[in-house]
Amino acid sequence: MRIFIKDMVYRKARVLLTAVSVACLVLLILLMGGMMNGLKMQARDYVRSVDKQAGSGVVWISSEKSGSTFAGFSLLSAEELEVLRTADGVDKDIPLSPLIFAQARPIIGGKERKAVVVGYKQGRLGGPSIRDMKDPSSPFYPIIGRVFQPSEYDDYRPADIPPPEVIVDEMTGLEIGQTVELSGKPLKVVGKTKGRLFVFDTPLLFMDIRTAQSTFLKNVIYVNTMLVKAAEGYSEVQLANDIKGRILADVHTGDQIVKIIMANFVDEPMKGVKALRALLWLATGLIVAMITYVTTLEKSREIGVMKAIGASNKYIISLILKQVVITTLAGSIFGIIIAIVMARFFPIVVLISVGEAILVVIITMAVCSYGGYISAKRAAEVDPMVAFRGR
Amino acid sequence: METLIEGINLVKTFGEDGESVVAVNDVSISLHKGELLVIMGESGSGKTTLTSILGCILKPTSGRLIIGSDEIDYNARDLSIIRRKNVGFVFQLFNLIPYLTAIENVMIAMDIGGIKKGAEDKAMELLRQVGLSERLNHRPSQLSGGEQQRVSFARSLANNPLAVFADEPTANLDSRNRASIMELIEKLCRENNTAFAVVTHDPYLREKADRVIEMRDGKIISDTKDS
Repeated sequence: MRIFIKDMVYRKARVLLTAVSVACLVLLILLMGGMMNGLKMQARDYVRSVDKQAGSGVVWISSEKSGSTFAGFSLLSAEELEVLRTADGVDKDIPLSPLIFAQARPIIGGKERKAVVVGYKQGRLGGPSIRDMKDPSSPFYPIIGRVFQPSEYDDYRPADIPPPEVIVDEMTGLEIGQTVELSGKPLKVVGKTKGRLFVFDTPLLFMDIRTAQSTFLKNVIYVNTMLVKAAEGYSEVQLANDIKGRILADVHTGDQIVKIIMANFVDEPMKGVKALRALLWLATGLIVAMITYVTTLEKSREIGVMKAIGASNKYIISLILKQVVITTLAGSIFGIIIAIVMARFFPIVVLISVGEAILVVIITMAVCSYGGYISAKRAAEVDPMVAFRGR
Repeated sequence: METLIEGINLVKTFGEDGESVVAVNDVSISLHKGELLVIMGESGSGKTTLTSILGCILKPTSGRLIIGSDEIDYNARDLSIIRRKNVGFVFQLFNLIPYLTAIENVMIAMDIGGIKKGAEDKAMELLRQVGLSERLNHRPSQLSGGEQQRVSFARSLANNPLAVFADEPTANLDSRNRASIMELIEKLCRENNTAFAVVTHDPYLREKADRVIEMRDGKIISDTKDS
């Protein structure tokens, strides 16, 4: 005989209210966590793609004390970079790859939008190449349309300006043939990426480095990062240390770059969200504890009768706790289902992992069970004499 | 007759020193196997308090209680086991669990004691004994007051108690139901050889009782044995 289930059916409105409250809070907790995961994924995505492009072992070099490509403003002159060409441990098969990675406010579809300009030399590290148009294993695959036409020379001649073309992410809503206005100059969309976004769903605009310099940097022939690959037998950490010894620059491995992005773009803004998540858990526990307590007050005669006919405190507590566990579990599962559905339609990327969902259920169960236990203990203190008293 | 429950010099005081009320005042009482004991007295005379002490629900301020051959240690953390094994209760307000059927209301007493095997058969048998074979799966709201009280009696006997304490079991019933419940009490007492201590003013049961105790101001003023 499952007394606790019969009681739950009898008090279904109360049980439903509790489960829905838990579901709403689990939904919020999961969406918040999913948003953080989405940001982390976006923070890693570009750096990992570049690493994959090289095979591994990419070292990121930016100007000294700039805090790195992604955190601060960095400019490296072409002269400084010459040093890197001859550095030991640099893979000579992969040419030095200049990169501009900077936040911009282009005009897209008549509106000023937030975007990240990625200027690089096609065929080198930093962005899509012809290979990404057809090879599913390539890091920037798929490219719808084509890649931009590259600049003619390998060096930085002011006159070397390729056709103003750009590859945008499909999230911008732009179609091939339309234009993006960057620093007052129109760039023609020739290709589209899928889901190439930086943190907070910021679309990446891939263009030739000379196009970026001529538009965004007002034709100043600087880059803000250089990418090199560690040669065989060299680790990226070893290479980064070697380079640091030769030039005054901030040199980071891919993992360090990811950490810097996380610290600047994810962890800092998400501190508040983390605190809010903790408060939501507390609220969940309190709601369950309060509803359980109010319900047990309502049931004090039943509890008193059970105690009078021999129910131990343990029996009463277990009866209430079973109900709390089932209600919380049902609410949590319901919350997860809604969160998964809502994540698809959420305005920013929300990634809900199975592990995180399980963890949320475990923590919610633990918090609610504790709240329920406190209420159950109070309920178990009901004097069995209430059974003798009148209404 | 074998003594099942014995209270010696029981005292129960409620309230603080200045405004304390002595509900049971130095009462010694015993209950024997298969005995039908009727406890009478005016409102506030201490009948319910005395039955609560004898049924191990209430801790006396002083005095001793012996159930079977064991003296109750009130410092023991939980008296529920003693209640579960030795006594049954029937309350004035029936106090059935509203979401359980008649048979489940009887089975819950066994469930509390951890008895699963044979619980359903036993509950059916007890309900048959109280004349409710046809109402096994009815909820309390679907039963009359008299029927609810019959379920309550079946529940009180579920764990084969030494004694059943009934606190004014017919106070909320009409005269027809009152009479049938009184007959049921006598029948259950005789058939099961279980001691019944019933707080009531009912003349029928008074007549049928083995002993009648009358209380006033927390004291037993008369203890009449059946001739």
